[in-house]
Amino acid sequence: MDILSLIGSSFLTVLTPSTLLMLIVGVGVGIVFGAIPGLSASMAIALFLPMTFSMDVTNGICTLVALYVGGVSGGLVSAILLKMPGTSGSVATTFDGYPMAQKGQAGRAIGIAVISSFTGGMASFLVLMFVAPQLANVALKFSAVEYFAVIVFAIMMVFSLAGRSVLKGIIAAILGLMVSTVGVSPVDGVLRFTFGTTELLNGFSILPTLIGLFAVTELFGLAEQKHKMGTEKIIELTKVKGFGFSFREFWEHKFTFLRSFLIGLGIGILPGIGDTASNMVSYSVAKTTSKHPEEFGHGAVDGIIAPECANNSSIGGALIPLLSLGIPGDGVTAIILGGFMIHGLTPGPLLFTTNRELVYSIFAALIVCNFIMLALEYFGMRGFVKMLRIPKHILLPVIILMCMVGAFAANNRVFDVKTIVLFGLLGYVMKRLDVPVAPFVLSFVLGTLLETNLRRGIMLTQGSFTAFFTRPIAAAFLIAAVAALLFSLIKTYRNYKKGTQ
Amino acid sequence: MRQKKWNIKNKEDFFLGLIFAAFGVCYLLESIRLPDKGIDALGAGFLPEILGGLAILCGGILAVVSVKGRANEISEISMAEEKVTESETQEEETNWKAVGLSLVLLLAAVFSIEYVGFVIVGALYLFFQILILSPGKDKKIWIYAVIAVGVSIAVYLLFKYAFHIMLPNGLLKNIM
Repeated sequence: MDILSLIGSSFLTVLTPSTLLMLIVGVGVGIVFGAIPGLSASMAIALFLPMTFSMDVTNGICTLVALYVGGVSGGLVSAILLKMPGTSGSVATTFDGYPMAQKGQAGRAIGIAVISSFTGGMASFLVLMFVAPQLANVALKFSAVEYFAVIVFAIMMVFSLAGRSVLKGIIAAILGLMVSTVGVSPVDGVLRFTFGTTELLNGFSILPTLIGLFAVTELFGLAEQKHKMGTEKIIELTKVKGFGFSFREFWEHKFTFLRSFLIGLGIGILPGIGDTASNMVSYSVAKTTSKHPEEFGHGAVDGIIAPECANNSSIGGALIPLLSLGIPGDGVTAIILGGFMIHGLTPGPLLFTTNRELVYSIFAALIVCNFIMLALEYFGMRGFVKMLRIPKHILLPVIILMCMVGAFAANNRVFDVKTIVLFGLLGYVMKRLDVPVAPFVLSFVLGTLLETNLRRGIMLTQGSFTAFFTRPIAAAFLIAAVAALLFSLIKTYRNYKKGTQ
Repeated sequence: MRQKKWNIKNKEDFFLGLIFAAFGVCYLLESIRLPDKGIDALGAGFLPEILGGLAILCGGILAVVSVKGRANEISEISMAEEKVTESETQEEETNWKAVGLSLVLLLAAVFSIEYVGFVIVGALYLFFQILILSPGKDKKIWIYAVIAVGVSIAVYLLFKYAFHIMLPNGLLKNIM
């Protein structure tokens, strides 16, 4: 089947009534989770994952990506109307979105943000559609040695770029790798750290672990700040014509769109940082390069376009390494990876040969979801604003109960329900101690893959480590990983020296 | 000026470093027992031994740096002051009672769900968790109770009939 007919049939697949309905529900629920501060796209996906068990694989995975698209986009609602970012990807949207809303232009601010999200998302999905298959073709030639190098690079990048503390980032990454070594070892099947329990034979499952880290941690966070609940003031939504943003205005800001899209895409591809960093970087670049930087912080249009275009553009970027290499870049894509595994699939280059139709259906679903997001946020914004008024002290316990069910349903065992409390507590302690969670998540998810490829690579090279540095692709990734580590250590050391003077 | 007095964040980092290093020691001792060589040249103990060693090293470095009172500088100098202030503010405002009660409630729920069943445990968990989290003194107990029982039954039925996932029945196994 040639590419064009494959793309055509993929659109036909996702436009069937049942799939389309799942996409609409997915995007809608995602927007609600993104809009309500404290809830996130990761939580929405973790929560809905068990509900996809009974669906066929295309519907199941497409629902997850719909939640992802809605979840990232939904953050703009509360960022503009509450001055509280619904997700970490919308932090910078508050800087100009809220001041514009305060001036009585809430409708226009939301319109600009929605159009920016749509544009950033659409451009990145098109890049994903054309780049991922090419990258997968290259990755098909990868042996265990190259895979090992790519994974090392991914883990190094997380703690080099993600957190404020490199040392704590390294500690989080080591802890994640340690947790991943529990259970039967890859290659030779030796039992490790199971302490005689049968529940730990297969180690800690991805889904309950991530539910614990993302959802239960949030419950403890809400509990410690419960006196602040219900004190937020929501700005009234004003009526505007269309999106309150004309095509002429769009064209005037074309360079901001282009720059933000490229920043979002680039940062999305890098492991561990995603939309959390892309919206901030994009905002800061837009401000620095603007002819009117003094307008930023007072409701500048560029100040809304830059973060919203970049955070949605990161979705396509983050999906490139997940689909073509099987390597998730952040927590959300790690849960989506879990979703693939539950449906018996392993993302990576082979998926492009064995399940080509599914891959292209995901591409088509992303594009359709982007249109659904645009329509839902245009026609249903008042409904989403009402959702912001749902008391969190009722909503979050209901979500936690659903999470318990989700954890149980993953393997039909109560042990996984206990796991969510363990990792929820760990996540909360890490948050209190300023230890970044992203390196833990990525190392935990990639740990088994890292060890499997290391040991297979060593078997392939007859016990020689030097071969890891003589193969060009592996060497390039390993050198880049070492450079990233050295760069962050030097930066840390300079800061340390400055602090001592 | 040299700062001799520890601030809270440094103490936290110091103990975090020590605990992580101690955890590394236990992990390493357990790793050493694993077979050195398997069907490959490395064996199942290779990666864990490296990780244990790295944990001791990194935990040790963090503890040492914190003793010198520079943990925040290591984190990021520019944010150091801001973070300490933020942490102090958090310290004042943290509702430890609600956190502790939520943890106890969660533990009670997950350890009893197998024996008591999802519907009962779910309803009790929801009711008490909403009660713990609800701000102010005006608690709408009857509404919370209706929500707790309604949601718990609805979730059970949804998973049983729509997604074909059987949740633990526990005490109600003869009824449901």
